[in-house]
Amino acid sequence: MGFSATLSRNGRIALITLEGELDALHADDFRNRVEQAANGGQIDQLVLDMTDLTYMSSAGMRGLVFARQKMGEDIRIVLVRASDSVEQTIRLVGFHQSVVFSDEVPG
Amino acid sequence: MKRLRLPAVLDSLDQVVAFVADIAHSSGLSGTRHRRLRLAVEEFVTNIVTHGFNGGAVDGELELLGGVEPDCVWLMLVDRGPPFDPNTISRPADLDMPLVQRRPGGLGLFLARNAADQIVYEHSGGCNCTTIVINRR
Repeated sequence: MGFSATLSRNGRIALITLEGELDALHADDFRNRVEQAANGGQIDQLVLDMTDLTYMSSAGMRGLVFARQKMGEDIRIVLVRASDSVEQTIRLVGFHQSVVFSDEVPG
Repeated sequence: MKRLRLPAVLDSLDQVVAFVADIAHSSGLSGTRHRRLRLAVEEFVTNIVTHGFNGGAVDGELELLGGVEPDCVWLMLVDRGPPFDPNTISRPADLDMPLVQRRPGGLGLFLARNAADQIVYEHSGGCNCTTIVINRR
């Protein structure tokens, strides 16, 4: 099924739309988008739209750690419409303390 | 029983995923259980390639065996990397720490063990044999 990560920007919000299956083969695509978002000017929020993300392994979790460490503690990381299984995995490894779950893309 | 031999490299993952899907579909596994099987298998394969074969070795071999039983499906990974018993790995110690203080790795086998209903390991004939079991209901 594959995976894609696309970056867009709305003022001080960077939005990365994740689609498909985020596994070890595609972890670098996600990481590269995070890096682009971090290098593209000052932002307040990094929003990850997970509406069409159907699978995430530990490779995706490493991407979230990278995102948090790259962005620093002051940038809000918002996960939008994560599926039950993705949200469960994120909670299982304790990442929910460092991100915000949301039902809609902040505007 | 199904069987597949692949080079021990990360690029084999697509074929591994297809092998898992084949077993899941032929056994009528639910979407959730299929995802759990896939997650556990991906994490073990990634671990074997990364740690057992130093990031990947085209002349290294990874063998997958899989089968469907009345109450479960199983998938066995066989490799000739250094002996590695996944049952000796403990729960990551930093699960309660904020992300800024986390080290990036170390979660894969934790997720795999959580996803699987059972993990059976044996070292036999110079091979690591790791079997992942998912109950069918």
